[in-house]
Amino acid sequence: MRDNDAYRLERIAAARLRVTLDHRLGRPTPESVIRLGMARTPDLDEFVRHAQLAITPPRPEDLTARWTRVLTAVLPVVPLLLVTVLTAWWRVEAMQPLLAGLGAAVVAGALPIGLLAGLTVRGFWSSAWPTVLFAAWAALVPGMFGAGPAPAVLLALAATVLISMLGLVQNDLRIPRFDTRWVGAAVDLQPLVRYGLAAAGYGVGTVLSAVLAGLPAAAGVPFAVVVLATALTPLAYTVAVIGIQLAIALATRRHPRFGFQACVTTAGLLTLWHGALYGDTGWLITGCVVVLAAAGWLLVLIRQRASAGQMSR
Amino acid sequence: VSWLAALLSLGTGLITAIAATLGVRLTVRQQERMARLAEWSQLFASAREYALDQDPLKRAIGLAMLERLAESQAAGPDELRIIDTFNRMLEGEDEAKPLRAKGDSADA
Repeated sequence: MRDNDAYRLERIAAARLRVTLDHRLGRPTPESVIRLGMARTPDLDEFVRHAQLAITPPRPEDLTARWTRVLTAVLPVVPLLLVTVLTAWWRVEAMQPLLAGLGAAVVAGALPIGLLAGLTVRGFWSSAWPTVLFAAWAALVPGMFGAGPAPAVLLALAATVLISMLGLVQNDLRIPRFDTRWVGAAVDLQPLVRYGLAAAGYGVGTVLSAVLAGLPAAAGVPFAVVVLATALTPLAYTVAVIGIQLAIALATRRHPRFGFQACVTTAGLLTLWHGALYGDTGWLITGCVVVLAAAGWLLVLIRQRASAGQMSR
Repeated sequence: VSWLAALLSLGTGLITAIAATLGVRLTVRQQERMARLAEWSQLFASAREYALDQDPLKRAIGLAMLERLAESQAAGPDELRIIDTFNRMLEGEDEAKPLRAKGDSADA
């Protein structure tokens, strides 16, 4: 390309930039600049496309990331499934506090670990993992207290796992991107599908749990307790889920450790709440331990931050 | 009475599902926006380098990239102001020292 052509392209590009900026910032543009900016330059578009491809090359498929996703999906669900099967199998009254405590510990422990794993893989699990976990938990709770029939609990859990697996499979699917002509303004359908699946997983688990929670009425439990438990349990899940979503939002921004700490606090508080509602010592003790540990962690983080601030000054 | 409990269960379950959906949606949107912004910043840094190059063709490419970045959905008011300030300094309209001599881009 001759220098004259290059200078002409530069002038046209400068005029276009000026027109775009004026338009977006709501300023008038001189007529001469508009006229110059309207000149057609296919060469320039081609050059820009190549320049951008050079800056952001397509990322190769990472097999390690795929296996991490699979492990992230499967591992947290396995202990939950085990606890459910054990509870359903040995529906002996003496075993229930122990199993409930074990379940709470699994949930409280698996949550931050799962979040940590989820956050290392950008995409589906970073946002959907807690939702899937809570769906599993929501399906688990009635069976844990001997309220729901075991097949129904297992069915709910199986539905949750299935939907979470669908989410995982979807993660590897190639959902088309509808690129507009301007770079950076691509319409990506993947997040829509992802959070739709996550919401479906949570919805199935919660609705099944809520229906199952109504069953103690037939087993002679006072009606007021049934209504309270039925009404408050999903609301508590809502609060916990929103808390965890906020925690993830925090974690993915500037202070990841504070985000994880918030996750543990939420898990501990929810465990404590369950213990108080059902009068279960196992849940209460586990909740107290988790909340105290989270409070200690928070103090350490605050001290670290304060000392880091002093050093930077 | 049992149907009331079941109805209540279903209602609260649905409300919970909706609230959870909103929570997830908010988080996903925020993450998407942050990812887009990071990508935008990376492209802006490259476009800036191009726009300051000695080669007039590279300068043209840099300016064209800046135009695409200004049109991007990821560019909020702050990002637009950054490009605008940079462009003004390029053109020498700002009070600050122009980044490039005006005569540089004139037709030869």
